Amino acid sequence: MSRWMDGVLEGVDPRSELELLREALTEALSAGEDAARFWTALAGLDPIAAADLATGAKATAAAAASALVILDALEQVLPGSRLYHRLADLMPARAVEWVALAARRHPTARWVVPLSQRHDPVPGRTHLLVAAEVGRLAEACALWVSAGEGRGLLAVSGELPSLEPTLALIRGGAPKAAARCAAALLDAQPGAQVLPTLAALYGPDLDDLTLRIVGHLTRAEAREALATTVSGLPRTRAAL
Amino acid sequence: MTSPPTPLLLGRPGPWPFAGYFRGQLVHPEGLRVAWAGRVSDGADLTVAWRATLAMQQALSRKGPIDADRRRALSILWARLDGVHREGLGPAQGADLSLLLLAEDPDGIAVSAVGLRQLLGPREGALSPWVRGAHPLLGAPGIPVARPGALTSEEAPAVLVGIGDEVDAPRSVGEGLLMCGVWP
Repeated sequence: MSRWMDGVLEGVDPRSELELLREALTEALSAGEDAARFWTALAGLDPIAAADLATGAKATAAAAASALVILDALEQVLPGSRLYHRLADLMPARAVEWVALAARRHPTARWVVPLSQRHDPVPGRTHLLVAAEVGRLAEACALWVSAGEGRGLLAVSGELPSLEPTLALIRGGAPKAAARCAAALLDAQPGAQVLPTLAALYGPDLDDLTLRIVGHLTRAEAREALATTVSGLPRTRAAL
Repeated sequence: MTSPPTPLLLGRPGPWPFAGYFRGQLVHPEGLRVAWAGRVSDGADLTVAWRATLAMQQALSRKGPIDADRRRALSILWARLDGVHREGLGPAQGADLSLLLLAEDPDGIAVSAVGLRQLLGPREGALSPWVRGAHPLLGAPGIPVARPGALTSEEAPAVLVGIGDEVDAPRSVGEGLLMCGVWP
């Protein structure tokens, strides 16, 4: 292992010797060497040069992948939107992984939305699943409602399952989309007690919303379970 | 959405603006229609609040549509509350009830209420006070011990918006409807 890969960069001027550093890094990575100490030393010496080497115009996928050990430093010198888009461009096969990483570190950042829109097979899904894991689902849902993109909200409603996407859509003035999400939740979890929460947010004309929900239910178990809870909603009861 | 005349109650400020809110109507084949908008169970768990609304709806709907003149119909609605189980109305057991009742027949409307600070009606696209000052329709919340009085009017506004909190009145009818949970 070279001294540089060992993290010894004394006397190096990273910006003027960037191509030398790139060559050394490429050679080391080709040989299967660990570049963690190199990256740590370089980020300490010149984080902008490190960012250029890791994600700049001449960066390679291998270099970018090995530089994740200095992600904190990269985020200090690059906007998150640019950094994660670049990671996904350099390593398209792992694009969803970068969306998840961005979402985990920045679950409520607005720029995660276009990142997910571009790289997530179902826009929003990965962001929202990760946001749920870190306890920021409500805020993340609000971002997607603002963006006017509901596919991820619908997906995670049943997948988690969670009522948060439904609530975010109601708050955003999109009751039709909210009804689809609530139905997805109820299909996934028949018998989930959603009416008290929906009523508290949607308002006293809940029959309008629940009637729409019924129209989107696909499972008989969900319809049967809902039927036991709609005594105060005459039109919904009739529809069930 | 608001086939006239419709009583509404402005939502509370906060994350759950309509917890404990209920609205309903009964139409008699002879033409008398009664409608209400209310709220109860302030500050309760959402499930408790939901159950309280069901209890209120059940009480007001008990025995179905009313065959009476509009003033008498309101007395009957108030009487229906005598049978409601207070324990099911949340932590305050109904002492926090706000309720706006309206009865309509071909001659006009009658209105009665508890727990309102303001009562607004539409005027030239805006919501303006429908009653002013220390009017009997405005007063303390709670299931009334004595039957509240009723105001009759030959004019029937499309909506009457009750406000139970110390909040600014909505500026326009459209904004007011949204704040009452009436979706476009």
